[in-house]
Formats: sequence, C-alpha cells, structure tokens
Amino acid sequence: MNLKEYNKEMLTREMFQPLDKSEQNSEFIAMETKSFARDAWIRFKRNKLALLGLIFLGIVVVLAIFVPIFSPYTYEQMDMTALNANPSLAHPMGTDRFGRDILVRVMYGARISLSVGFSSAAISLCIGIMYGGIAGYVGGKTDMLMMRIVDIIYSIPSMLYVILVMLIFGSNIWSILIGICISSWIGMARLVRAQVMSLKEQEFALAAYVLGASTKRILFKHLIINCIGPIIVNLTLMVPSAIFTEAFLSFVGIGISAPAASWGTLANEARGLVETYPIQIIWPVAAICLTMLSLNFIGDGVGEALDPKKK
Amino acid sequence: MERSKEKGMAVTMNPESTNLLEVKHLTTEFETEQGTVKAVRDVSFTVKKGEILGIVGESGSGKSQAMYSVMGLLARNGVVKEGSMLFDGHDISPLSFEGGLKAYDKYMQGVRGNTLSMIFQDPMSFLNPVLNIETQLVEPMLNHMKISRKEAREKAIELLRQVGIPSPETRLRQYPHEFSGGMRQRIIIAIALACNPKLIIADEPTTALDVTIQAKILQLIKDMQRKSGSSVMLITHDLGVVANMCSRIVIMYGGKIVEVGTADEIFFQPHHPYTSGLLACVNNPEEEDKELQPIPGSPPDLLKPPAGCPFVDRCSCAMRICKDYMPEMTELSPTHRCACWLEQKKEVLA
Amino acid sequence: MNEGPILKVSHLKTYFGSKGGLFSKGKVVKAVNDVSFEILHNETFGLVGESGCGKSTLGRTIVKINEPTSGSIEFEGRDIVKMKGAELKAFRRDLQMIFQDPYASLNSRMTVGEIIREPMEIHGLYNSTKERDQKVSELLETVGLKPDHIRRYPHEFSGGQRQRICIARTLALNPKFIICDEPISALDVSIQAQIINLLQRIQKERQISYLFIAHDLGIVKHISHRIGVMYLGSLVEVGESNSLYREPMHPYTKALLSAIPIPDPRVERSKAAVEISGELPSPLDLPSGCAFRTRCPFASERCAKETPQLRQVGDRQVACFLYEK
Repeated sequence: MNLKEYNKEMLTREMFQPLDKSEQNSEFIAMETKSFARDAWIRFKRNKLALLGLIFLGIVVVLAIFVPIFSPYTYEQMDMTALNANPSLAHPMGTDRFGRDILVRVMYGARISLSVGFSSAAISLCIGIMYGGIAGYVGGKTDMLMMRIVDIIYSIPSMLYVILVMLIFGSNIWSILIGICISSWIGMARLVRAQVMSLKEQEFALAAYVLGASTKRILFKHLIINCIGPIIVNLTLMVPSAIFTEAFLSFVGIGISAPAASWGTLANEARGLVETYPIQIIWPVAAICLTMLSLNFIGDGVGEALDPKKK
Repeated sequence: MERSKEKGMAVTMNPESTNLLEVKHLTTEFETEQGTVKAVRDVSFTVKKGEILGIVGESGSGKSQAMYSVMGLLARNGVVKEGSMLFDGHDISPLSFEGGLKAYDKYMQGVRGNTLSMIFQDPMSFLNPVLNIETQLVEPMLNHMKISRKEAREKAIELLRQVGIPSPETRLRQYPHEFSGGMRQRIIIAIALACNPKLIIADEPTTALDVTIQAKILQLIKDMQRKSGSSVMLITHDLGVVANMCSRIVIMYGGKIVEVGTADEIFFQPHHPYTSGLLACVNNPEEEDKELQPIPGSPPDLLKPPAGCPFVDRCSCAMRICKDYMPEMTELSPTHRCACWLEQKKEVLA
Repeated sequence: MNEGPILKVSHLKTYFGSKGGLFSKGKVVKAVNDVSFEILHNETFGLVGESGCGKSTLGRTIVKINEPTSGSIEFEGRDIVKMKGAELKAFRRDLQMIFQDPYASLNSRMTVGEIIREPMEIHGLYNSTKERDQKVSELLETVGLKPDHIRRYPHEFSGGQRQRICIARTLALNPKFIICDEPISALDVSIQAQIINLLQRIQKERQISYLFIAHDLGIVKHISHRIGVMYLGSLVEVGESNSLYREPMHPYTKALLSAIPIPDPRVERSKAAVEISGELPSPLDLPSGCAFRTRCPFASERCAKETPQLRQVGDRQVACFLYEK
C-alpha cells in the first residue's frame, strides 16, 4: 500500500486549498514507451535457452568467417605426415585420412551450411511475402489462380526439385540453393496470405485506404508489418530445415562434392572410419546437432517474444 | 506471492445478519510485464438479502476484478492480497480459508453455479457450442441438487418458459448457434437460475445486446429476482441501466469505492465529484439540449495510481490534500457513504 | 456558403452475395436497400438503428470501402461512385471517416507521430518533415493530447485517447465531411462526452458536416440536427432531431425510443414501454412488404403486400402506411 497514514490533528487549512491546475496530470501514462522490437528483445532475453542458442550461433558464424582466413591450412591442403591425427595444438580437431585439418573443414562446412540456410530463408521470405501479400490483398480470382499455382508446385516433393536441379546444373551450392528455394517459399506465401486476408478487414487497414493510401503503402506499411511476428517465427523454422536438407543430400552423396566440405560430406567421409577413428565423425555431427538445437531454441524464444500470449 | 493465513481479517459470524455477502478490505493485484497492477484497492461492501446492488464503474475501475476475486475466478497472474469475504455465513476468502488453497478451490467449485451463479457479458463464450441447451441446463442441476434427470428436465423446460423462450420442449434440443444474441442471454439467465442461487452476479449482461433487447433482458432479470427472492449484483458502466434496476448503487473508480448509496441518493444528491461528473456527462435526452460536461482526461493508470484520491487528476474541486492522502469513507446517512476530502473541508476550515 | 447539399445519396443499394453451398442456392444480403437522403453543409445527420440494420455498410459505401450495387452518391455535385485515380485521391481529402473501435483502427507498429503524419505524406501536404511535425503537434493539442505523446505507441493509450488520435489523423487532411461510424460506442461514459464535445467544437471551428452513425438514439439526438432511423437496410423515418425525439411517428422509432435507459430513476419508474415482439429477422430473408411488419403491433394486410416508401408527413419523412389516407 502506498497510502500515507494521517490523523485528524494533522489536517490543516493549508491542505484544503485548491490544487493548482498544473499539478493535475490527467493524461498521465505510467507505461514506459517501448517499440515493438525493443519489447520483443526484452522478452527474448528472458528466455535463457534461446539466448544461449543465439550466443552459440553467433560464435559459429564468427568462427566460420575467421578460422579459414587465419588458419595456416586450407580445406583441401593435405598433410601427409599427419594422417588421421588425433587432436593436437597444430590440428585442434585432428586430421582426416588425407591429413586435412578437420577444424578448417568443419568451419568451411559451417560457411556452406549456414549460407544455404540463411540465403534460402531470405529468398523464400522475399518471394513468399510478395506472392502471399498480393494474393491475400487482391483476393478474388487473382487469389484463386495464384493459390492453385502454389498447390501444383507443392504437389511434387521438395527433394525431387533439388535432385532435378542438381542433375541439370551439377552438384554445387548454387543448385542446392535453387532446389530448396523452388518449394520452400510456399509455406511463407500461404502464411502471409492468410494473415493479410484477415488484417485487411481490420479498421486500421480500412482507415489507411480511406486516407487515400496506395495499395503498395497499405500492403507494406500496414499489413505486412503487422504480420511480422508469425513471419519471423516461420523464418526461424525455415533456416534449420534448409540446413538439414543440404546436410542430408551431402551425406547421401548427391550434394556438395569433394574436395569441398559441408557438414554432410564430412560426416559421409568419416563414416568409413567410424570404428577406427570415431572422433572424426563426432565433429561434423556435433556441429549439425548443436546448430539445429540452438536454431530451435532461438525459434522458440522468438515465438514467445513476439506473441507473449501464446505459451 | 505469499499467502499467509494470519493476514485474513477476523470474521464475525452472525447467522441473523441480513447481509448475504460481506466483502472487507479486498485488495487484488495483477503481476504484468510492466509491473504490478493494483486493480482493486481496499474495497469493502455488502450485498443484502433480496436486493439488487448496482456496481458502476468505467473500464479499469476494478469492478469486474473485485467480482472475480469474490467468485475465485481471477486470472492466473491475479492474487487477492488482503481482505475477507463472507458469503451466506461462510468464509470464502482465499487468504484465510480453512484447509488452504486447494480446499478453497474445491469449495468454490461447489458454490459457483449453485448458490452463487453468474451471468456474463458475452453469452457465446459461456455456452458450449457443441452441447445442446438441455445438457447445459440439466448438468449443473444434477451436479448440485439431489434430483433425477427427469425432474431436472422438467425444471429446465419450466425455466426456459419463465425466461420467455417460446416452445421450450423443442428449443431444449437445439444448440447455442441456433439462438439469437438475446435468446442466448435468456438461456444464460435460465442456467444461472437453475439451482435456486442466493446470489447472482451479472457482469455487464446487456452490453453486447441491442437497446430494444437490452430493455427486455433487464426487465427479465428484475422479474426473476422478484420471483425468486435471490440477490443480484449488477455490474455495469451504464448509469442508465442501474437507474431503474437497483435499490443501492456502489460507484467505483481507480480500484476504489468512491461512493455508496441508494439509487435516489446517488442520482439526486451525489456527493463525490466523480459521481456528479458522471451524471453531468451522461446525456439525458429527456432534458433540453445543453452542452455535455465531460470529465477531462483519462482514468488513472493502475500501474502507478495516485498516492491519494484516484480521481485527483481529473477532479474540478481537487485540493492539495487530495494528492497525497486517501480520504476515508464518511457516513452521510445510514445508507449513504462517500470517500472525499470535501466532506471534511467544512470541519477543518471552520 | 455553398448552395445545395454537400452529400446526396439517391436510391443507394449495397447487396452482398452469400455463396450457395453444394445443395443450396446463393442468397443475397440486402445490407442497404434503396436509401436516399441529403446532408447539408455544416450539418450533422444522425443515423440510428440496431446492429445489422446496414448503417455501417451505408457509411462504408459512401467512402468506397464497399461497392454499391446501384444508385448514386453525389459529393458536392460530383458522382463519386465512378471516381477513380487522381480524382478519387483528391476526393479523399474532403471526405474522411472515424471508425468504431479505437483499439483496431490504429496501426500498432507506428508511433502516434507517424500515424498522424501519414495522411500528410500520402497527399503531399506541407514541404518538410519539420513542418509536418509542427502540424502533428498542433493537431495533438487540438484534440487535447500533449505534443510529447508523439513518440508513443497506440497501445500505451486509453480508449478515449486513441479515439482522439484517430480524430487528429482525419483532421490532418482538413476534410469537409467526416463519417463517424459509432465513434463512442466502445468508450467509457465519462470519455464519450469528451469525444462528443470535441466533435462539436471541431464542427464549429472548421465548418465540417458529419454523418454520425450510432445505435444510441440518446447520444444521436444530442449531436445531430437531423436523424434518420434505419431498419433492415431501409430508412423508416427522417426528421429534425428534437421533433423526432418528442413525437416519433414510425412504430419502430417509438420502440427504439422507449428502450433507451434514462439515467434518472424517476423517469425510468414512470416510463411506459412500447413493446415490440420478437427479434430482428435474418437479412438473408427479408419479410415481404414492410420489413418491420413481423414485429410491428400495428401491422395490417397491406404491410405484407406493399413496401411503404418514405414520404413527407408534416415536418418529416416516414415510411409507414399508418400515415397515409
């Protein structure tokens, strides 16, 4: 209770003088002003697992950028004096059967895996928002047509696209990226369409329309920005699934080809030596697992931070 | 949140009392991300047997949260911090309940829908859309009363007839979506009446309805109250609604009770500046057009309510003392009480 | 002052198609069914009716959110139904709308400053951001808020404050005509009066005409010069507000009036209720003839066969056979 105690004797004439108007603050707002992003960040920080995930991912990104630059070895440089070496100061993760430094190869693999994950998410985001936004806002026959096209694309398994593209353009990172992107934007497009459809009937969107705002302005400044929450949540799920697809393809041998290294190829190469040198398979598998785990924690944290009611 | 048992107020048991519900020093708080919201602050009131008590307040005045505290239906982040509640001679305060919180929850489940029933603002959220009306009417009767299914069904038909639903035998088999808004609210009233409750708490029962329907529902609540002799607590933001319905009226503002009195006292001799301000800013279409006198500003933010009177920032007669000290309830007549420093002004200035 | 009405609506119909299922035929909801009225310069025209009577659809048709099925809407002598492109954009500056729900009508991702600045940006008013910000502060003060609220987000405000932000946003364009779609029904009583007084003050200062849509006849009577009563898509009575309130003619207006709760126990106790039976029929299935006949205590056979038209009776227009010889 913040009530001050008083007794009858305390009451003075002075206290019963009219209160100055300037002391009345009738439009008082106690709440601190916070932008949406700041508010979400504060909530995100409270989720310790998600924060841990973010820190881990940050470290992986930094290492992936700098280790290959500063390391004395390249990913394909063989050291015939140290085949299948155990971890040491010269090779912190040891070497593989050709004497290549595993640390550099894992970090090089991180470059490939993370860039596939993030670029495919970014591309899907752009296509999905445009496509879904237009279909949802215009509605009617346009929407019908656009959604049927989506259904047709979706009716073929996504793995098939990747394999087909790789058959045509060869197995490199670009064809994997294109293959993944052919179908991965569809989820985003459907999500954005559904959100836009329900938001466009809301009064703030109608108000913008009545004010004379152009379709572009209503779509981007009013509708898309208000479904940013679900979009980001969807995005955090898209990154790991793309990384997984790439790792899977490389592991079964139709992804990135040697001597280039991705986590999938590394695991595949170490597979043969799993009984004699198990340490070699642990590194890439650990990298995949921990990255997936942190991405999922981040996804959870972002979901909670953006939609505090859903728990 | 500490729920110490000693904190509860001493309760005087008086079986002869005419009070059905006695609430003393109720304080309810909510933990939110922005901080603690002091929704109800030291609220005391009574409901007498067989009366309709109106609780009037704007959104954020704490009127609904005070009622949810009484019914034990607070949201998860809400806690009764202080106070005692006595319903029909039984202590129903979660702070001092014998046997702790679990026993309290169990006891309240037996009370709600039985001797204490509720009518909510939105009938659709209260009715289960996949069950027919018969199930929803008969189940609570079977749970709370010792009667057979057949008797319960007969009683349900009788109740529907009483609340003005034509051909109740066939309507009983229908589902909530087959009824209009007004009809649904009638069904809610029938469910509320099913177990012969002693107290019905109606939270904005007509706000979601059209005016022509509202008038009928209010009349129905009034008739049913007269017939059954139970007490009704009518929570509303509309002074027009309580004018004809209630014998006594409680005015709440900023989580506190500012004035209590009979309908005539509140409408014709309002003492608290908020009450008179509320009356002045309601347009009475019976009178010739004059400019409305609005209360300036917005209701207090209950994250940081004023230290003194909650109305101080919007009051036209605010004094220096109002800013720092909360005025006590002053008795103006046996039925009329008001919490305002203006009542003490004459005394001090004399 | 210009001669003639600022807004003239004639024989306006707005129908919504309801898609048929596999075995049922599609039905048509006649939300606005042949409505004609005029609003003069600097006048407030009140439109009352229960929910579902089409009053909001009528307002939304005038600002071109909904397409009319037929009929014409003339604003200052120009037909706006066919307007497009630059002409439409220019027309938007003159005719604005305030919405019902102050919680839904502000974009929660924009600050108050951005919200009020937006209409100026859209229409290229004022030259620099600085000038616009200056104007935003002025507008905030006009509606009784503080200039330092400019950086706050809508969810930090109370309902009444938000509705005032909405008003400031429409005023940024200096419109000649504002449609108020139930602007106070979501607000607290003490705040309602603030908004009403604010609207009246603005009208006096800026010579604005209002179409004031509400379900509460008491408030509408207070703010309006003339009132139109709507029932299931049609106007049933139009008249000068005080006279319509004192002597309602159409049976529906009578029932609506008797249902208003009056904040005065003496009046309430002595009030004789005009009973209307039943509830609103589905707009999918309008009764033949007069739409109100299913609930009207005076309904006759003729009401089922013919549809009464609005015609002049004394000082007002009524659509009821009771007032015909």
